[in-house]
Amino acid sequence: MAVKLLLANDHVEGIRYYDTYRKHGGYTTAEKAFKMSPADIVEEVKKSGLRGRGGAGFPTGMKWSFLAKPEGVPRHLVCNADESEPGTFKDRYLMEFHPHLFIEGLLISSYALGSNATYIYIRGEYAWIPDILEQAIAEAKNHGWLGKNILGSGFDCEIYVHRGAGAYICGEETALIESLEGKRGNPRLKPPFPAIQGVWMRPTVVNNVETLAAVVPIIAMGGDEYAKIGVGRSTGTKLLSVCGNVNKPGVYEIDMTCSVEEFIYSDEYCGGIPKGRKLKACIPGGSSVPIVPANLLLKTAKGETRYMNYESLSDGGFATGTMMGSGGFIVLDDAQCVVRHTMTLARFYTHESCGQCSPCREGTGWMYKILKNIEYGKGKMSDIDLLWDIQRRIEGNTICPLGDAAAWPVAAAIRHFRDEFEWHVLNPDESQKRNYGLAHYADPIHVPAGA
Amino acid sequence: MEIRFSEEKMNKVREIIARYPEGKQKSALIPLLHLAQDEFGGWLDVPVMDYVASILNILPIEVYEVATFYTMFNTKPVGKYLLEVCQTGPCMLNGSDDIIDYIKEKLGIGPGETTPDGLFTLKPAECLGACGYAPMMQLGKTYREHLTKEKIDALILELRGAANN
Ligand SMILES: Cc1cc2nc3c(=O)[nH]c(=O)nc-3n(C[C@H](O)[C@H](O)[C@H](O)COP(=O)(O)O)c2cc1C
Ligand code: SF4
Ligand code: FES
Repeated sequence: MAVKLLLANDHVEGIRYYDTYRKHGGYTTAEKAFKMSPADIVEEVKKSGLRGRGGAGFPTGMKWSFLAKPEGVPRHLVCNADESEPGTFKDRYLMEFHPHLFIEGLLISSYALGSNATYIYIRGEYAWIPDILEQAIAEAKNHGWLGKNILGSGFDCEIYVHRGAGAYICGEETALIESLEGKRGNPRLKPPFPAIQGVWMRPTVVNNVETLAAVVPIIAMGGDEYAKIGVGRSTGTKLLSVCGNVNKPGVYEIDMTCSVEEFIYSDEYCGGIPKGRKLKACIPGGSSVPIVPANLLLKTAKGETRYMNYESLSDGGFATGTMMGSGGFIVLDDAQCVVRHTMTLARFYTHESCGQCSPCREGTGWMYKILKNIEYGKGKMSDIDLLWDIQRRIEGNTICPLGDAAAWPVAAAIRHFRDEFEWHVLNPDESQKRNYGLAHYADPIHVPAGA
Repeated sequence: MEIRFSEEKMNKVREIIARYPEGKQKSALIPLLHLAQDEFGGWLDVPVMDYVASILNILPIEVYEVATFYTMFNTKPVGKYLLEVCQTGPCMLNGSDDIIDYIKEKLGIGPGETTPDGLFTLKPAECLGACGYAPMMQLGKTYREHLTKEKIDALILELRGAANN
């Protein structure tokens, strides 16, 4: 039985409300935390090996230790609840169904970082969640967990919910900060990093919802114990949001020791592919990470079992591997078209580019246009190489990683499914009537030269 | 329509501004634009944006540039009910294209268009964080998930009924 930390109380009716949460041990970890020094909490988080759950996987304890603490300047913790990466809906689940766990994590983290005013930046479309969070905040405050002089510690803390208004780019931490300041979500050039100059030019830590919720079990059990769960540098548990063609889409907590095959086919998780169809491909970590065909998903290029953790998913680099990313697990069955799926992602990125850098602004739109032509039977063979060329020129040449995020899905689709693109070009009429299916498995590990 | 928040709404405005440090009231801009859009007809006309600028003591251009950046702010009038159907990959895998086509056909409107009675606007949207419950749409403050043609029929009937009452 897999370890459950964040969703351990998932089955408890009413866990959304304070009394029930408290009855099930809620806020006892906050009590424990307030008996520790802020530095000790940072130390425990470091020991836990927790890596940011927003997508980049940066060690949280290390990020916290970079926070500047100039005399007399307030500092802020800002929680990134923008969750807009296609395939990702795990933070929504935590906030909707476990708001108090989330608030307790925010409280402990605010205390550790010295943030007297902590902000939750939530995507505007999640319009009903601020009410849930504000109710939880009010309940916590009524019971003395927020406000002035919490538990007689002398520490004051308020948590505010701030709604965005529909912009994927505001999930990028410096764009989020700009947006929180009431501006367009244009990412900032780094340095200075937010830890030195973030919101209102004050030292700021930006962390994902799941990252901050994980601080509760870490402080409850101690960093060393937490680090024993999982394998290697993939410590603790991870939430996965599963969508696409599986029998049981939804949000799952895994302890990063299960294999990809078990995750997809076991009844405990995805429950297999519907209608007796076959697995074709998967994007395991949100739309930005490389798509991989079934054979490279279940096994690495070396033929070893692939596991659901940071290291194993990225084994083989971009040539034959992918990434854990945000945990948005997108499954495609054999009736799906990789060209069409990639086209929708290109449309997404061109819609979401903030427009500051030419390679991203122009490149994403150009890629979408070419993909649309190929998908609708108007593509040329040279378009495929052109696509490859455009994505290569975006990657690494932009202010923020959205450019890379737009380039990688296109690159991976061509790398692994070039034959499907070619088939569209060569069969413009037929490709409008049926999909290519699994034909590429005639050549299982299909890595074109130069990829 | 007079562009002015009620006293009750003004209390909300003051509460929102108080969340941010003194002198950083511009941070309240996006929350106030949401409030204004809800209050003044579902979209942000120039006088509405100017009003918000005056409340926050910032330049109108600072409001315009924000209002035009974010997808949720409508800078043109929209129907009473905005049907925002997600069309991104994960939803597409579960039939969002068919749902969009069905709505187009049923209401006789294209993407971005409003029905002549002013009730419905169809807006294909990008991922709304409901990918596991696809196909789906955003309708006001709610999500409608696991959409089917039957559910669309029922929804449109329900909304037409609500509008007539
Ligand atoms: C285009 C783009 C979108 C992002 N969207 C999100 C998001 O929605 N949620 C999130 O937590 N991190 C997102 N990130 C990552 C953040 O920039 C940042 O790394 C993260 O919030 C840090 O928190 P963590 O270390 O706890 O993961 C995004 C990054 C980029 C480049
Ligand atoms: S890479 Fe794209 S989204 Fe990021 S700053 Fe440049 S234009 Fe904006
Ligand atoms: S792709 Fe439609 S909600 Fe995510």
